[in-house]
Amino acid sequence: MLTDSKPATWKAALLFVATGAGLYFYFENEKEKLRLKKIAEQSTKSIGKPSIGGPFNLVDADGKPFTDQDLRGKWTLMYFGFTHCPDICPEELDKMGAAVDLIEQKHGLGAVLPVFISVDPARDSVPQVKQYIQDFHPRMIGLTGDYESVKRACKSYRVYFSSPPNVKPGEDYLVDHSIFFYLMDPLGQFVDAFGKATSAHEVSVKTMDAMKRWEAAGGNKAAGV
Amino acid sequence: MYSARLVSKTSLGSIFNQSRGNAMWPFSSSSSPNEPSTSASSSTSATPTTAPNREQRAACWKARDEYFDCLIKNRVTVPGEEGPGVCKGEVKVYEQKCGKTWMEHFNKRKETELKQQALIGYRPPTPGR
Repeated sequence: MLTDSKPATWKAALLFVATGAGLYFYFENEKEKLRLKKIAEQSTKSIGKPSIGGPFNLVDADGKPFTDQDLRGKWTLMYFGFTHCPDICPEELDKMGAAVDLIEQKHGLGAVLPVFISVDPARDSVPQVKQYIQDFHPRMIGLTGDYESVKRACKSYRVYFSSPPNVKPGEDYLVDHSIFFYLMDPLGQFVDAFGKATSAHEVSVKTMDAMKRWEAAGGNKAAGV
Repeated sequence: MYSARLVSKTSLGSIFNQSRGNAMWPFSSSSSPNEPSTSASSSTSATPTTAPNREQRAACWKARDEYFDCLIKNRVTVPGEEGPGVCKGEVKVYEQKCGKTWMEHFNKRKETELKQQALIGYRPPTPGR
């Protein structure tokens, strides 16, 4: 009889609604987890990306040892060049500095570190590098080292290294080098490369996109840096 | 990929062989028999061994651009081949401000650029006074 089954109907209805709601929230949760996982994979995916980056053992502009570990936990834009460079290095370093300024406006000072690494160990001594980077962004880090250390760093970053090993004092030469600067994430992994055709604005947009994806995937905490 | 050119061994040798006591880059200029006689040999004193700073670079680029403007005005297509008496003042300042290595680098690049322009029939606008 209908009147006898009313409470049963209510219970059934409630159970139905509760199950429906439960299933809905469960699926939404799973979808969100999947979405985050996809983001995390995208921002750190290693398939199809060049294996740029790796350990290096250099010296900063104050003569103190500086390794790749010192950059862990930080976003960096790295440029390989030399101080006796006619125009390309200064232009790219200026562009890098301008991009860093744009990013710092939104994310605060030190959000991205500009790094200059010399590919000319024979002439780019520590004082030379220190003086050189003074012309550029205030937070720019300048790195150099001896011939072997620089060669190893270039190898890690797949940078063409053509500095002659034995240079006589007063000898002048230009160093062949690729003119990209690399965006590296807080784990020291390669994210993107920017060339002559990329404007400072584009660099800042792409970098901030990468930073946003990184944060969405859990940020430094999730990455363990 | 754009790359700065490595200086050829011959010009390097000529720079080194001409070493005087204080002749150091970037302000030492030595004219060797191999080079076109477009510049009077003028070496400035007090040669710094450090790379040029921002102001010095800007001064070099300005001198370079003035020299190239002069070449365009005189319809010269290869830097260095402008002939006697043409753009003499400009090239002197250019060499003094930039040094031989940078000059060769810029000139080579300009030559390529002008050749490409000629190929596509592009004529750069005549620089105003």
